[in-house]
Amino acid sequence: MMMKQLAVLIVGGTAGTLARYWLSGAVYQWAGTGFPYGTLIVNLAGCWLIGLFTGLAEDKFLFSPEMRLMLMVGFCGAFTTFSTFIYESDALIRDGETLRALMNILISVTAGFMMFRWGIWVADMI
Amino acid sequence: MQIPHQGKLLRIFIGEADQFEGRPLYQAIVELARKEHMAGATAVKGFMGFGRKSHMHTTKLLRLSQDLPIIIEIVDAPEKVQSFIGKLDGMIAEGLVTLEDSEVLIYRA
Repeated sequence: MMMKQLAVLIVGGTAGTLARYWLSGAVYQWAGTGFPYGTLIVNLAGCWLIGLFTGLAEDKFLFSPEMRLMLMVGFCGAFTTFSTFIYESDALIRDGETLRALMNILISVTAGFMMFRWGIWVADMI
Repeated sequence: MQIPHQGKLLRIFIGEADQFEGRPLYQAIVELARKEHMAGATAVKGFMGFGRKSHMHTTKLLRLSQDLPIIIEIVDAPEKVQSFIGKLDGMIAEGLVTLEDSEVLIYRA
């Protein structure tokens, strides 16, 4: 891998990880800890962002390959988290909160798609 | 080593991430208890809890699963427990320490 690609991945990935850590913590402070709100919000926000970046990159050709790598692979890849989503859904199931687990899965996937499409729509409006 | 029938139970509530002189605090306390020839010490990890700052820590939410609660329990003669408390004070920057009467029924190896 070229040094430039590695560098943009490190920048994007670091920013995405820190943004997730901060935002999910803030969400739990505000919304409480009865449901994986923090992970849900970062994942939905990440879906919207990658939709926005997709629209700007593919339809408007606004981003260089390195910028796409940094924002979409680096930042969005680190900002969102599938593994934590599964971990927390499983924790709900293990605690007998199967309905909440199913809600988490359903909302994450369906709202995720909606947020992605919304991001693309916003990019089209710019 | 024997514990009198009427002993004292020392309970220390700290965080998993708390450190003392470069080591986990819970480890430092249990090792100190052994060094001071206390009758025994047990550290248990909780999967959910909050303390004075009201920050919830829970294994259910990964973001909040750092610094899980640790409880260390020590039962021994009242005078030994009091002496041990004196050594603890400088080690615990954050946490809760409680003391209660304990009736010792069995202490065997």
